[in-house]
Amino acid sequence: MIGALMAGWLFCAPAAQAAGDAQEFIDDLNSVEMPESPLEAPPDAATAAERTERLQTNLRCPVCQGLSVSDSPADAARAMGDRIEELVLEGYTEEQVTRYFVDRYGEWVELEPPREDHQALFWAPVVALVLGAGGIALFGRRRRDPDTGPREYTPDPELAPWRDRILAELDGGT
Amino acid sequence: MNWKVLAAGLAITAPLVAVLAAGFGRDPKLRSNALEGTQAPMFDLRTLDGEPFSLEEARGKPTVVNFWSTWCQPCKIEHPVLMQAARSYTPLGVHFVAVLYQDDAAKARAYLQRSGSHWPTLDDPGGRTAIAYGVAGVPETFFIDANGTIVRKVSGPVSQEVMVETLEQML
Repeated sequence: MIGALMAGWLFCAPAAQAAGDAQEFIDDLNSVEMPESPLEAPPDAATAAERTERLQTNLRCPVCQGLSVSDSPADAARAMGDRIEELVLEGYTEEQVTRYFVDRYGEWVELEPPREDHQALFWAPVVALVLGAGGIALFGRRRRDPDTGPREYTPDPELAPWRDRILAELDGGT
Repeated sequence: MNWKVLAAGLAITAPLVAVLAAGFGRDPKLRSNALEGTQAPMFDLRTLDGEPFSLEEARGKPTVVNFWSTWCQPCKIEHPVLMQAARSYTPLGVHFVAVLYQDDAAKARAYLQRSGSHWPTLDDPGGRTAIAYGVAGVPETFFIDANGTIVRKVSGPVSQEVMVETLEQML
């Protein structure tokens, strides 16, 4: 529709005024309030393309299951991708663009949302298991073998007759 | 009972259970209603007939913004509820406005001619306004009070009860 309207308008308008006025015409037709102004000047084309691609990869398509904006063929994802590009070209930083979408769709819209504090608890059992296994291995061995040095051997006097008999048999070769 | 084994088992499983309980407490597919309680993004669009429309002009009056499309069956189920609400509450000062979502204006015009409407339907080229409202599917309806604050967002068709209850709260 925009294309048709713009084409129609350009057909009637003087060529010299076309570019600027056409943009103003489009903006007048379709504008929505932004919560804040861009923090940076509009970036050069290469930087903008790089930022846009990174954002489109990191943000989730709102109507898909687990697909990023760049991976989804859905119309909604294409619209979101175009909007990301527009915002980047206007000078919005990656943080601003991400926050803009998170404020609207929730943290869900980030494919890798920031970790929450309570998620650290997930590692507690793993740490406990490793520490526990290490402790058991260390203290269990010590319990079985409290002295790691060479054993002292003191012959039991009550066993002396038996020992003497065995040694005598060995000496006699029988 | 071996209390040491029990204590060790609890130490290992309790954090796991806590994390899982926190996870089960919320539906990961549930979208955020983060815009509730915030100022509604103002927008300037054109109606399907080409007339300019600015939400700013509705400020000072309760407004219902409904995102819909002709390919959405729940939107068709919701349509009579909107019709009835618009008929009853427009005279009381409530503004109703619909925004077309990912759809063809000609199809929407044809549908509205058949089904009727008592509110302006706006074209949203590029879906900028839908994105500004965090629309992730249709229908989605935003109830905006006279101060421009979004007091309620309903995903899916609005029932008659919810419509009346919300509008009565806003008046």
